[in-house]
Amino acid sequence: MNKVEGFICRSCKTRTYPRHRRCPTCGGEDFESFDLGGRVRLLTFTRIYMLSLAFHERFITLGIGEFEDGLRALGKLLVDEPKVGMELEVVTGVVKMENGIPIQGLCFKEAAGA
Amino acid sequence: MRDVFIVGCAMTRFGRMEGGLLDLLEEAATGAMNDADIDEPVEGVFVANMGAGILNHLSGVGSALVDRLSLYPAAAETIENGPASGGSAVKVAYYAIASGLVDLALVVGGEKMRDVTGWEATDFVATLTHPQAEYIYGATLPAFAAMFARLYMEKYGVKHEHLAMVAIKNHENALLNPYAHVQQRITMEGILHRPEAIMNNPPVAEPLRLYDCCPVSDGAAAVVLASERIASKAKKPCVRIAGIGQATDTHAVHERKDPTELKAVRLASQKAFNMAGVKPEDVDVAELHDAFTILEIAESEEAGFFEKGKGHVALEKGETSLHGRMPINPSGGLKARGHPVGATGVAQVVELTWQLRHEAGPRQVDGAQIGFSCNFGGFGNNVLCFVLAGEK
Ligand SMILES: [Zn+2]
Repeated sequence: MNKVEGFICRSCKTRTYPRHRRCPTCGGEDFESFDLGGRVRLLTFTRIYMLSLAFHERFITLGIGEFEDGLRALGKLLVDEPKVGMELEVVTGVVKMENGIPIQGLCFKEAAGA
Repeated sequence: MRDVFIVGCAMTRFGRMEGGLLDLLEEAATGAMNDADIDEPVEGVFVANMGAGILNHLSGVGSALVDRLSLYPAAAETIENGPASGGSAVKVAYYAIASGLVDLALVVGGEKMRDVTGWEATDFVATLTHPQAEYIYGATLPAFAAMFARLYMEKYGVKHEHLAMVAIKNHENALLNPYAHVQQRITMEGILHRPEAIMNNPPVAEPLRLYDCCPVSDGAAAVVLASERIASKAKKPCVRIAGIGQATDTHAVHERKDPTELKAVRLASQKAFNMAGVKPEDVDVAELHDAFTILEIAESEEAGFFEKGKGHVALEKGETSLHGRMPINPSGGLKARGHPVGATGVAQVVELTWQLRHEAGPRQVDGAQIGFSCNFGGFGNNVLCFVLAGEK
């Protein structure tokens, strides 16, 4: 499965996601990429019932997860009863089917032992 | 820089409208030019539209409108800045006149959204979101408003009832506005408390429900802007564009440091107030971008009308009602006047012009002299604010 990449600025070490050509902190243009993974804390979430084209489920649940250093990402929640502040594990999975082709993205599932 | 005046305005009714996009633009433009009734050539035509390419299979809308109105050889462009396209078109026309290049300009904003299904309209608006970090996940604009609302409600003690109060107030105001899309009185009981409320008002993106969201509308609005030379000959009272502010923010919403802040609203408001040399407390009437009920509350704070976290308290006390201390959205706002995306920023300026000319009929804010509008693009990644001043 394709991992979703975050970026570390080589000059100021700020981690960003998604990619910017220029670092939002220092303006630097030299980045090292890394795979987004590990654990996040659920910052906020929503269950969407009025869906966009290409989404045929009854609802989808999306949330914003926050890594320990403050980096955040939007992802699909694979949790039945999400709660703000819960600890989640970041995995990669199918977030959308586009003309029969699965699109991979960030998913958040219940962290083992959390 | 030269002063810029609004010398004419008009709009179509918002809602599910017959005809094509150009018919709507034509109707609003003609109405505004007739209202201005100025016998001078229009030198610039600025058309705000977000989605003709996607929704109506149409491009070159500005040029097409010039032809409909036989305004050649006027300069013309189509301006796209998402749901803030209308504000952007007013701003660009302002630049043209303030710079001295143009003396008379026509600004028209319009959208024909009901040509497509609800899913397609939702998807169309969602194309604003970050393509890789948001759009592919099925993130919609209501979803961002919902995630924002969840945090805001928790942090400041805003309840579902407060969100409903915004909807109830704006629906009431819209009953006094013949141009409004939604003409329906709603009650707290009916949309929240009765057993059948969950059917009438189902969840769209939790915690937001149907009546927390604006409708999908067709419609157009237009203003005629002029330099002082021309405005001095106008028959109607002129309204001066006293301040303009614009600010941008991160494309991906999760990158904002404080997820309960609408920073671009705060910065754009401050710029507009500084330019106009007035303070939030000087404003008599405001049109805010309540695409979602939570946004009216949050914007009323970021603009400086109320302390952060206290907007819902002012709302509860009736301060934002038509005859309250700080009337917000006398037109019905996006919630009830409707939200044809390209038209909205212009429609806000049209409503304020009527208010400042004291022509707003039963929804007139008594003695209004200073008006404020906030046109919110994306989920707050491009915001325009205006301060308008009526003739003393
Ligand atoms: Zn950097």
